[in-house]
Amino acid sequence: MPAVLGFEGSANKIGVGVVRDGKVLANPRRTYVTPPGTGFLPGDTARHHRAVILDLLQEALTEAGLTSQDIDCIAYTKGPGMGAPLVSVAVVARTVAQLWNKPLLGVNHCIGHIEMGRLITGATNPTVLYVSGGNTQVIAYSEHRYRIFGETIDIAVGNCLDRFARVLKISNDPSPGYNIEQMAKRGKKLVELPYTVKGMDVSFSGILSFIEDVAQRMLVTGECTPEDLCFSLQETVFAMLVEITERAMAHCGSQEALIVGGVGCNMRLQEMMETMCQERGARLFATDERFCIDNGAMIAQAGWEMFRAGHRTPLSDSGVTQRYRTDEVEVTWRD
Amino acid sequence: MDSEGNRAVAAAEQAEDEGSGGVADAGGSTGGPEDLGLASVLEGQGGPGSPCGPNGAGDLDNESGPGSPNGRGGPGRGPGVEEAAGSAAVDAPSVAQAARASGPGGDAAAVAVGPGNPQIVFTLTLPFQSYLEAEMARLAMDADAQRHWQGVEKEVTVTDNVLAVRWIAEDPDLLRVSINSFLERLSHVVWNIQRIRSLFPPSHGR
Repeated sequence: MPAVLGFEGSANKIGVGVVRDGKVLANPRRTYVTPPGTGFLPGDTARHHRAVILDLLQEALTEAGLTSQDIDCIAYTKGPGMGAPLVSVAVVARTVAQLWNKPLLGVNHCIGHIEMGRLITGATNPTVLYVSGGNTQVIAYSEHRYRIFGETIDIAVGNCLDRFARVLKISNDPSPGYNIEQMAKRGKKLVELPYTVKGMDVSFSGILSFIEDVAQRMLVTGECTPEDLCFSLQETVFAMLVEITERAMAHCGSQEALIVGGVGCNMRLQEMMETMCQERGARLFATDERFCIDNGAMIAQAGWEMFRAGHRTPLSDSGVTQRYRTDEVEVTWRD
Repeated sequence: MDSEGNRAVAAAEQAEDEGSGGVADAGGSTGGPEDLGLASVLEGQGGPGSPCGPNGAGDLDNESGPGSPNGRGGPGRGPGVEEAAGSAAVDAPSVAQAARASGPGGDAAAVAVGPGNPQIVFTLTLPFQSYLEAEMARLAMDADAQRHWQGVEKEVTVTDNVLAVRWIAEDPDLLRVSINSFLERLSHVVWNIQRIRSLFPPSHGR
């Protein structure tokens, strides 16, 4: 019954999780929140992570009721993500692995999301919509790889939302996406925005440029409210995501859809995806904010699967990778 | 010589004058890696009350030759860093009086590539409490070595309990950035080793 300790810190969330045999024993997390109108920079984020990570480690082991002796493997996010935060976490993982004499495992962040989604929801072989501040991909499993069927060709959907939040000086606490969601519920007018689906892929940078420009003009003239803009942006980008997910499901003949990633917490997105799934006779799976948002347990869970399948990461290969594709990993733990 | 290099060497000289014996403060430190003052070795701006991590000798050489008056090394504490011998420490790397640092090869001579193409060589030797700690520090940082930096070569080796780093670069600004980055990561690693050992002593869980 291996117990795996997982470290996650590829963006502004730092988490340490403990998983054993499919059970999440601990999953404490901290978020680096910046003032409204600003985003998080790599150096500052890394400093935040360095300051709290060891406290989180202690908290995780205490919550799990385990000691260093009970841990069988140390998993950490190898990538993708922001360089300095990734390094700050990897350094701790390497040090812990050496001090405690445990094997080390570098985990792909995207696969961490997928494996945690599968564990929590019980989905067997879903088409996965992975949406976050840093990634937007439609993924399906085939022959030992998580294949990317469609993705953003520029910025992630969460990045589009976060940067729009800065324009409106929406608070980043607890997250800009959450606050946009709450404002969108009060929106009444749909402002037409560019709809940019390109086959299996999507594009968000043009929508962002457009709405940033529109916001300046229409808010000044009173043609719409900030709530209307939040509503319009969500409706547009989420409809695009639903379209490319449905296209992938049709291609694969899939009867399951799983949403993972921080944007997956959005209830409007889940509602729109549910509508599409019902129309297709498919089933939708989604997790709550404990596991949608970046967390340590998802890295521990993916690490647990990898550990049991015999994966190990030598220290010499334990460098981080800012660009680490989901389909680079050989998924040997699945048939 | 680049002014930053002058300040670094001046700091090393002053530290040598002040003597060695700095010991990292592990248990009592509430701050982050910055408190170890390692970054101050290069910048020559030690913070008051900043205990040192593994203090090392730095050597900055350039084409002016081994006889350069700025080539002396010494314990790498910057001015203003308090004598930390009395600080409480848990398995902190101890510091021995360092002789003139000469790099892994024992030769502090400048690397002369040819006229019109000067190269700067900077060596740093950092004694740890044991070979294990020095190797641990090297392995913790080595995987993230910034291999993509054009024009800066870096070689990191461990001999006995000494971590030795040797940079060769043509551009003093790139060299400075590389050294600063390394020292920042090193201080983070050392701080982690100390803090993890204090939070989870070897008897943890027995």
